[in-house]
Amino acid sequence: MKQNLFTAAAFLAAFAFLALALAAPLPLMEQSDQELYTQVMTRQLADDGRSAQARSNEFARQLYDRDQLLRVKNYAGAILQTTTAEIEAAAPYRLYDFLQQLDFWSSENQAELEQQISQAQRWETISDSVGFSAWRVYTMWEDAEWAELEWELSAQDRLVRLRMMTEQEYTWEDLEHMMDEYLAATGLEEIDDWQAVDVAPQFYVAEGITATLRARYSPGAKLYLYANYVDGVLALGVCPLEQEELAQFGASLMEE
Amino acid sequence: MKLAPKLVLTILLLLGVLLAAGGGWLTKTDFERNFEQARTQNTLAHRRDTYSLQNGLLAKAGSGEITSQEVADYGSSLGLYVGQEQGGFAVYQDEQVMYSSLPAALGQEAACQAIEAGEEALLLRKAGQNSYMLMASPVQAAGKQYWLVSAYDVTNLFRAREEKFRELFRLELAALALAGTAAALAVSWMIRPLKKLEKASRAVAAGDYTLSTATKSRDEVGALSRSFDAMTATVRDKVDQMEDTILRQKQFVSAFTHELKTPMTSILGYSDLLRSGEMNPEDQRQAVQYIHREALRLETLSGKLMQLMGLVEQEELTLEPVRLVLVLRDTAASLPELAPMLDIRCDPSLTVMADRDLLADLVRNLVINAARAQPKDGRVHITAGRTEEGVALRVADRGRGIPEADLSHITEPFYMVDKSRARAQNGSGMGLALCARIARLHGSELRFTSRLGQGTVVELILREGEE
Amino acid sequence: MTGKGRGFVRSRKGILALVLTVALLAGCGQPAAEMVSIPATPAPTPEVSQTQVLRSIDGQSYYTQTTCYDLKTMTACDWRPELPAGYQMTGEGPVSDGQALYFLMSREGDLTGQALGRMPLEGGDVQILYKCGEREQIGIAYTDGAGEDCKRPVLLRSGERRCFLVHRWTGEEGNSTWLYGWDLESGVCEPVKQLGSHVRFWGEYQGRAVLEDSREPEAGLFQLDADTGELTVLLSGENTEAAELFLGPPLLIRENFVCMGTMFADNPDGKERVYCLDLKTGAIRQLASSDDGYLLIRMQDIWDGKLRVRGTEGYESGLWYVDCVTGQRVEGALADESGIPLHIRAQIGEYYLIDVPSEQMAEYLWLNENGEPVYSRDIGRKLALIAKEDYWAGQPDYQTFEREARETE
Repeated sequence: MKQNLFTAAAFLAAFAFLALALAAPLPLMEQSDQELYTQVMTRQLADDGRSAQARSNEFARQLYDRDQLLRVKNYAGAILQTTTAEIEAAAPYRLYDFLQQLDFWSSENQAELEQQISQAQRWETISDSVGFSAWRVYTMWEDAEWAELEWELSAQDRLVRLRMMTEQEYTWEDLEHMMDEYLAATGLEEIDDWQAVDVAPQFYVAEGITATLRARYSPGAKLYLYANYVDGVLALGVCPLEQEELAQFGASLMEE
Repeated sequence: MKLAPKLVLTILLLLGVLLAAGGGWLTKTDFERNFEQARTQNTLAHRRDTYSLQNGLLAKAGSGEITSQEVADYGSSLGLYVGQEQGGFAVYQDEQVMYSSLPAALGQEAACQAIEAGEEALLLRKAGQNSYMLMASPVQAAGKQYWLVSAYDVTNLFRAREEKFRELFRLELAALALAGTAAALAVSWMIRPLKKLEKASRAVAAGDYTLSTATKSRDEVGALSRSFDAMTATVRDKVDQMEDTILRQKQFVSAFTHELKTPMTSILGYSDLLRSGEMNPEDQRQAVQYIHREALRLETLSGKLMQLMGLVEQEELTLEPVRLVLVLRDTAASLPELAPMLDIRCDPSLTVMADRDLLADLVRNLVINAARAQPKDGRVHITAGRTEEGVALRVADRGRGIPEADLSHITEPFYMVDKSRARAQNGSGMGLALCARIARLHGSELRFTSRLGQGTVVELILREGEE
Repeated sequence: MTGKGRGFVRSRKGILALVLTVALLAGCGQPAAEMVSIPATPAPTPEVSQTQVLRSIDGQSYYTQTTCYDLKTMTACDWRPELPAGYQMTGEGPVSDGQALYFLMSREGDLTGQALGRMPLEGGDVQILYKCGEREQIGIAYTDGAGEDCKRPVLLRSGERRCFLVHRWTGEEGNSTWLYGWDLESGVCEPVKQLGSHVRFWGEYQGRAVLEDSREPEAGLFQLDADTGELTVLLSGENTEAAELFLGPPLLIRENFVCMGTMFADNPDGKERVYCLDLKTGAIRQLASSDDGYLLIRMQDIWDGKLRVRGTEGYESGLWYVDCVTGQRVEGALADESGIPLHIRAQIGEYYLIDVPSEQMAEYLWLNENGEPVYSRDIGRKLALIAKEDYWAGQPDYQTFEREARETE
């Protein structure tokens, strides 16, 4: 009888201990919570490998954020769905303002641009939540051919991308010069690790056509800057890219 | 405490500790994962909100300077989008709040802490029952700097954790209860053989050797029970043997005492008579004769007894090769009065492994018995020859024979088929017991074949020896 | 079915004509690859067929526009020829004769600048066999059957000569189709014979190409012997009833099933239907119609007695199989996530070559014509080999081809 009582007591004690053990995590959680409430955590989403410079540069950050937030690789305006809009009178002036900061932008360039815009038949535009806006303009040119003019600006009126048909000719030095000034005008100059990129056209280049491609890449900011002149079309712009992706279109960083 | 509860308790305690540790770890990792997810999500949302505010302000700035009212208005219009249940946000300029939809419980302090912590920081603050993630980022518009402070309600993270933990707790308790029951059943089933064993030992202690524990299992308990059974069996056999021996000894002693008493009584009686001096010389002489005879009987008896006792103690004999014919001649020589009755047929070269004296004694006793049976042809036939079992030594007579019922008992000490006649012939009933013992010591047995009124044959197989 | 059509089929003469037609053409190997007889081994090894018509499968591999799938080792590698200056690959796939690949090229931006090229399988220079002039085109067709998703140039083998069709249209002479032959040894390419005016590749019969001339009065089906250039009449348009049959509504003949589709324009109730004639039993059954939920009903191909039907209405479309014998819809065939049965490209012995959805989205960057990086996403599809039973049972036990990095220039 005594033994049975003892056994029963032992079981009760064991259950009590187990209940305590099972509940033990509670105070530990309390403690860790206290820490959470007092500490200051970092916001960094993931180790994206960008340099501090890049993160503090406003334009670079906006470009990168669009990649992250919108999760859309909107290169060359390919995926943006533009909507037809009224012909905007004020919009081009933002573009002119930026371009005129470029030393390089001559009055001939400006005249050409203005002509295309003034003769525009149709406008398309779109804005995104990061504050970038893009315009696409269709013009009749020389009575026969269509010309497409595209450009994209940030909310602070920095040029993200420009693509226009032009009768001017650009040599590679011109393009390099353009890129230098672009970097200065946009403030991307702050980022000091821009490297030259060796890129060749992936498309077929027929005889008699000039295709000059120049590009630069910053591994710290993960930005790809390009200035191309191909068969009468000038394309200038910057887009976020991972370094590995350069190889996908046959480009590589040039050895310094 | 008994073994079963001990085992069950141990299992329960171990299991309980494991469950507690496992459950705690699970809860922690789950919470951490959700927290990370919420952190990423809210950071992105805050970034988006920052751009929205910036764009909105810039749009307004296009028309000139921004007034605080405009900021407040814009803030409230944005607030319609953001949604209050998610927390809220505030717009600060130079430590002044321009618009705030932050929950009141959070207070200004939290917002200021967020601003102080900077644009790479994320704070977690508690306000009343709810918890919020706070983030602040600067926004530039029209040359002024504003701060956007966002608060995101993450109370449900904690709530979910609590709920999950509670559920886990309940689950673990149930699991333990189930495990306890299952363990109890399993353990009691496994130690059943032990109980049987205990019962059996008690029975053995009480003297009952018939119980067996008979477990089929191959584990240690099974081995134990099998050994126990073997032990009980051995004990039982030994006890039987001992009881047997004791019984025989008792019988022996009582028979012996009885046999002893008879001549003693005669001796005492006659000597008493002689002492009284009232007998005539003829009677005296007869009395002395009786006394002498009885004394002789006593002597033979005690002699045989001592021999038997000696043999009983002796377990083994050293057997030597002995020429059988010599043994038989010895026997004949020791029985001069019976010598004419003997008809010995034995190959002189036959040799057996035997103890010469004892074998002679055996044959002597057999011959005496055979003679006492009053054979019709007045002869005792002794033959010896080779058989497939060995050398067979036979002592045969055509006398009275032995009744079947007595055949199995005749080798018992003091057993006499016909007591009166045997005693008259100075028989004591010891002879055959001796012979049987001697035969056994030679590794053989006496075989009796007898028919009432026709005769008896006693056979003994001996091992052939080499000269 | 039109009243006339129904009456035609029901009448004895009609049935006779039908039976004759199909008896003749039933052996007409499916333009799908039933030609190659394969022993049923885990990795099917097609033998070189004895047909004159070159296909996308030779003894070793299956070729698409960009990739070569080795059936023995189950690997896939790219084949990219170094084209002569000014030329680009067209969208048609190549055919193989076991030693070289034959494919079409065109001058960039110039649709009339087609050329037939040849590249040896071990690698080597691309040889231009024939350059089309203005208003000329090389004959192409679905040589492997409608299961294929691209056309291929029609190439015929005759000894050491390779023949192909050239369609020519001029203002004055009208249209004509010529048979050209290119000799392997001499490298000379010259016209062999003019075949007709509206001649197209129809299928294959007894190892020879069958061409269809749809222009009256020469209409008919002809078997072309590439060695001699002789055209043997299989079915003549003079037998109007039979002509109506094969020249009329779309017809699919495989094994012992003849499936015919009728379009809404032909039917008074405006519905489309597909009928099947089972040559063994003589039964005619309706396999699919607009009542199945789609306005337009088209047959695609017959695989092992199951007709693949595609229904479209506006932007909606559906794809399913109907059993030719029972007329019941086939359930349980291997399908992708949206329930559409996977596309069968070809049949090799007891296996099918199918398109299976690949797990990854292929994302890749490329430079557009302005040198700007552009990002594209593509739901990858892979080619796989699956045993027939597995396909019909819906068991995804297929073997995909592994990518192999190989230098092909």
